[in-house]
Amino acid sequence: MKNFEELSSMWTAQPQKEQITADTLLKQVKKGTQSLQQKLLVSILMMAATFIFMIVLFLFFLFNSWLTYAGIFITMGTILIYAILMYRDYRLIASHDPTVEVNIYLQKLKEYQKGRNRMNGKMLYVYSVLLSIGLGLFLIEILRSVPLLVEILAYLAFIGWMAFVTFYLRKKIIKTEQEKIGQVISRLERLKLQFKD
Amino acid sequence: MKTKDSAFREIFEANSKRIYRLCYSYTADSAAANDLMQETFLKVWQNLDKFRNQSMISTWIYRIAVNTCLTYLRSEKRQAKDELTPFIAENEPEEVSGKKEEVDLLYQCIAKLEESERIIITMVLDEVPYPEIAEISGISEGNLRVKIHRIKSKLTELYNHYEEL
Repeated sequence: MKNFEELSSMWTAQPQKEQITADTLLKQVKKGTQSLQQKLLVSILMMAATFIFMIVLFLFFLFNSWLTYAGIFITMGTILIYAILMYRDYRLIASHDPTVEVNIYLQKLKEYQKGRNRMNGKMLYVYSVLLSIGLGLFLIEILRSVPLLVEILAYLAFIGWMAFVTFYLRKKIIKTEQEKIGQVISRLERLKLQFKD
Repeated sequence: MKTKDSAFREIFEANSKRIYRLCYSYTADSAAANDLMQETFLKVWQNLDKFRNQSMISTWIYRIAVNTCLTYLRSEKRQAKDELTPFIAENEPEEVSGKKEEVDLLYQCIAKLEESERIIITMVLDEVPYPEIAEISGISEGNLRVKIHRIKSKLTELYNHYEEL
């Protein structure tokens, strides 16, 4: 049997758990939101690199068929439009500091979520189809000189890869991304609910 | 003049342990308590410029922490476990000292109290002055004394009951 005074001294004497520091705390909050931006930035940079590669192909290589040039242009155009749209999304969340302007950031994050839903929906199918057409046309001339079997295998690998990315990988990436955005939004919303001052 | 960062560091050092204990008494889960403590201090940091010394800073932080814990409990629909003894038996390794078990049991018993009782008793245990507790909980000092007396008895009774099991 214990009385309240004994409970009170038990409370006072309890072992202290190791706690994080103030700096680590602020870093952790920023890290969650920065990883979204970083992933998007990496995708944009990869698209920019591909775009530059296509320019190099166009400027420094001579192709015989107009279909190859058409393929290059379609691929370049598709990548450029998609990269611009992604950059617009990136700017939406990169322009605000979540630890300073939580309300504005939350609103931007919701806009970002809508934008990503649109991009990951029909837009991504259009992107995949256009990219497949562009790269397919490009491959016609490139694969003309190789043996028929290699040509067939190359086309099969190309179609297989595009199908894998569009129908499997895409869903997985979208799910992970949406979960992450959802987590950040619910955390910030919980904070917003408490803004009464 | 202190910078915002250095002011925040001081506030964090002075209050984080108490706030962690408060959050732990609400959740009975150290990971959730850590999350809630972090959320509380994030809000403190965001609103530090708005704090105008109308009340003591510790009172202000307590209020934020209580709101954070309550919102968490409501949104997550997380409640303290009904059965206390199995929880402790399953989660504590054998070599853990008796004192640690006693403290855990105390936290479990606090988690069994009503929401308003939890915040009050946590502050009583942390030796927060009565006028400050009255301000945070929004109860007059006279009523508070009666309430505290009742909560103390309830907690002691709960503790002794579960200790015997």
